[in-house]
Amino acid sequence: MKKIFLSIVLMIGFLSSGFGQSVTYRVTKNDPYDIKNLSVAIDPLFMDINGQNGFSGGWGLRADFLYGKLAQINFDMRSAFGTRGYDIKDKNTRNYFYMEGALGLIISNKEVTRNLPIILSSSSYSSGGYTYTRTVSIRGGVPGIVRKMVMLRAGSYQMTNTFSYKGLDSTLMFKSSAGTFTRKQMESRVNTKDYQVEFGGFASTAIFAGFNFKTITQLVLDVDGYGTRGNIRYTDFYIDGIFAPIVSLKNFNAMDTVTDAQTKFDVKKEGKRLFGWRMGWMMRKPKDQGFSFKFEFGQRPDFKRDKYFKDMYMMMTFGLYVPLRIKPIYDPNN
Amino acid sequence: MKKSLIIMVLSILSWNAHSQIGFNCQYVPGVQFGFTSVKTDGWGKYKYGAGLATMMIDRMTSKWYSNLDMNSLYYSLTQINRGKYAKIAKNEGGLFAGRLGRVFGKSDDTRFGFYFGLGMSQSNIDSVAKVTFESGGVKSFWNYGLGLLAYKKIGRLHAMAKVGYDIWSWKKTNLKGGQIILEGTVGYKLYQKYGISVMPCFYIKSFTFDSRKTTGTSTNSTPDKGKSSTFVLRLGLTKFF
Repeated sequence: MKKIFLSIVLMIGFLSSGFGQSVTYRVTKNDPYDIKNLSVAIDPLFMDINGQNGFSGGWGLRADFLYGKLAQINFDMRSAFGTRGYDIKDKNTRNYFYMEGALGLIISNKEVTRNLPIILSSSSYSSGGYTYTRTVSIRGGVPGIVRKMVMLRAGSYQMTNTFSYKGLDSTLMFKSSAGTFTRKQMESRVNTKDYQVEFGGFASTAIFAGFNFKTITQLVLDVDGYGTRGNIRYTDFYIDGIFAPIVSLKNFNAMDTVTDAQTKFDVKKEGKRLFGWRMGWMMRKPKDQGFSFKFEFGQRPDFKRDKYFKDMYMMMTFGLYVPLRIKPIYDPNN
Repeated sequence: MKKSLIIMVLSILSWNAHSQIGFNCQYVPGVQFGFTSVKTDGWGKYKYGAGLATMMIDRMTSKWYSNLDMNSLYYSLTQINRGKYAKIAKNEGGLFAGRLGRVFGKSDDTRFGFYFGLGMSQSNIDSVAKVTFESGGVKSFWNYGLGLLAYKKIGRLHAMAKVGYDIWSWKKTNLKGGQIILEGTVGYKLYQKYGISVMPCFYIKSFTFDSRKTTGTSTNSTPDKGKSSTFVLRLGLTKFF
């Protein structure tokens, strides 16, 4: 473990130091406006690590559409094929499902010229149990046009998930006409072979608003001795505040062995938190088809736990996207 | 740190900057149809269908061939919610396996070459029973081998064929064996650089191992012998160079 950690540190160190080189090159493309503004991605795998149940993983669909220089529309849907605590035959638990839509109004659209880093070659080798990476780049970078957009965005999401009751005994109650019970008391009221009292269902509907910062570069060079190299980016960084009018736990349906009746227990938990926040990144190429990535973390509106970090989440996903060129596309030259 | 991250991302994005021939068959996501039939001394004959979703990349460029196979790992992930109720595990293929090859030729449409394969893979050669992730029904093993490949481009149609042999080995279950690999790929360019590809694959396997039925942990028992064959048809989006 120590060796792996040291290898990573050394690798990052070598990457950041790099080797600058003077070379002859011709700029074959420097146009961040020649883009495919719609992309639809199928994500074979996402991972959502959260305080509600630990983790969920599954597949998803994503789309982003840049409407001229007016707006951007985003769509994101995720459905889990693995949710911790979820049992497909236990109707009291819910599978992870998430769907959101967002609209961003572009409030700033400008271009700047910056020296962009260009990688000429990158190679790794191992010695003495460590892995070293040598990166050769063009010294000082190459001036390229960077298109920068700032968007004011807003949207809403809906999600369901399995909710772990563990560790929440002092603030969690199961109410029915027969009385109010703690989770421990519930374990003796229902047959735990048929009903797991450790997990329940969670649902939330929320609205969010924030800023999205988009950066596009498309600098392609023909470098003597190296061939085609470039600095190609289509990235979004966003930061949102979240408000959820609906944060709820699913009723717990079970056979009450004391009353000998199928009973609906209203699950109540103290400490509902209606506000949250998040920030995230999305990456793809401006024109070419390939794999896109999305990573975000923050704190969703939820029920409070004993420690702040337990209410946080981190989600990452990647997928194969198909880019398309759909009008209107903004081009300052036309 | 920021510069390091940008350099790392750019390294990944500029990976295919030189490619002019070949295709990138992206079965991530992709689908597959087919079956595996197994015959062992201990379990007799049984058959299971192919897991639908795939996680594999099969890539041919003007100089290099590479393959990343995580089909069995992805199948396991897709079964986390359902695994407890699954009738039989359909694990087949790589947990984390890959191939790297070199191709030769200077024409605009043809390449020949060879590849080496290495990784950890799985096959359900030890059970007809309901299998969860905790059980020992699915066998894992190291696989390593080599093969030959040929590639031909005819207009919008790209075709590739591979013949190879993999050796299997896993000490814990005394598993030894191997498989003959026959793979074909036909890709068709539909729009700009993009299209679809179909990959018919046939794997013929023979092996010996300590099965749960014959041995458990006993060292005196006779190892199980078995044969298995897998036929699958994979479909996925493809990028043409």
